[in-house]
Amino acid sequence: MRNNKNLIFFAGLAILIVSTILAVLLPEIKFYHMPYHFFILAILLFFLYMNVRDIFILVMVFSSIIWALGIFDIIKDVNLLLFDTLTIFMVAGILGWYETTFKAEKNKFSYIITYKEKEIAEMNEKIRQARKESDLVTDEIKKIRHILNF
Amino acid sequence: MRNYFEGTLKFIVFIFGVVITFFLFKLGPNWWLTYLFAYNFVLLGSYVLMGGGMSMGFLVFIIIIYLMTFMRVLAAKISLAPFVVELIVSILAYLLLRKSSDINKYFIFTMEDKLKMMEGEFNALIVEEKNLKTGHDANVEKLLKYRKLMEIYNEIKAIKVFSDRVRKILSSTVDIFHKEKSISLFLMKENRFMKVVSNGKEDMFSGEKDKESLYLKNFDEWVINNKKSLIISDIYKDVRFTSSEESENIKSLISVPLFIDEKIVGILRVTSENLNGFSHEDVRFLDIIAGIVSKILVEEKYAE
Repeated sequence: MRNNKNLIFFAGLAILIVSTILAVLLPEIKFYHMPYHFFILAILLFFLYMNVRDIFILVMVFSSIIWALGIFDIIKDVNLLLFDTLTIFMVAGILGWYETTFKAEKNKFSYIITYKEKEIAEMNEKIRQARKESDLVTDEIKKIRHILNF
Repeated sequence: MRNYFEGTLKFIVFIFGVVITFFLFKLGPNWWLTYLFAYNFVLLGSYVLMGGGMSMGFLVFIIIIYLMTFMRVLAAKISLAPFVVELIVSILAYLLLRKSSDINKYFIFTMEDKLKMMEGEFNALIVEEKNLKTGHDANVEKLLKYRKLMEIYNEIKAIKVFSDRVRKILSSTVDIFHKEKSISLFLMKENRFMKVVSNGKEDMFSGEKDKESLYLKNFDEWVINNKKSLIISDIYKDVRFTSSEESENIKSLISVPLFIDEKIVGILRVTSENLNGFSHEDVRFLDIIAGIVSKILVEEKYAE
């Protein structure tokens, strides 16, 4: 499980790095902002095991690199870049909503499970006490029987 | 509030989809890829907000849009490759979201399973606790009887007269059992029987009598002959018992033999006016009382 998480994290990171490099190398006139669009795959890979806040931070860092390319005139069509960035962050936003919904459900179950665990522990304690009392009574009966069995 | 917000989001996703579809073919070819990319928000948003079925519909719609775009791209004689890659990216993104959703669902199912198991465990514990309580109550009741018997045992030690000792133990034994029960002690010596009866209110010595005149004789004979304790839940259904005039009020009984040095010297019997008046625990209890009576008889040198 842990290995899986690491693998997915590094795969996502690799996509971000390769996309950024491709954004520099591929001609904008032919491929438009296609490499930048790969960011969405990285976001969804990260989303398998990471929380959206961390994904936002990572994507913002790499987006800033893409935007730097725009500032240095390597990417010329900044209007399109703005719209692409908007789409990427809207997708991250909707995933955030999804995570919130899931977390609410998960918390509900966690609360019930914690409550049940407490209830079971209390019941086990009750049973332990009842056994102890029952053993005391049985011991006394045995003692009397022993005295009366001549 | 949450529902209101969710509704608003659905509306935004829908309107966004309509707007980009409207503008897609109105703008120049350099905008096409960006607009197609924007469909990812519609696709993923529909999955998150409207579920798998609805999003599949959106996916089909988006694929149709892509196909239409491909035709326009070919007509405009620009490279098709980025558009094909964009379609693949959209489908992959959709599949990844589904996978992520499956992981979440699996997690929820696991929690639901755990909860069901815990509920099962809790119910089993409730039953266990109830059984323990029932067992404990029965043991407490038993203990009270044994404590009472212990008291009687200590009391009879102080009594010197044989008949008083026997009376004391018989009347006290009826107290330990229930009011509607009566106890009889038959002592036999050289085939002569002596009967002592106590019903809790009064007790009497019947003196020495011939065994033929004793009531419930068939049953008593069985205990003497077999040298075993006996429990009868319904005497009218038991073939070993012959009903007689006095026995009409007796419905159930228990009886144990009295021994001195492995020789049977009598029987101790408790009868009840109710059916199923005794348990096996009562028989064990009467056995102990029989042991006390036997000890009294030994001290009295009865066997000699």
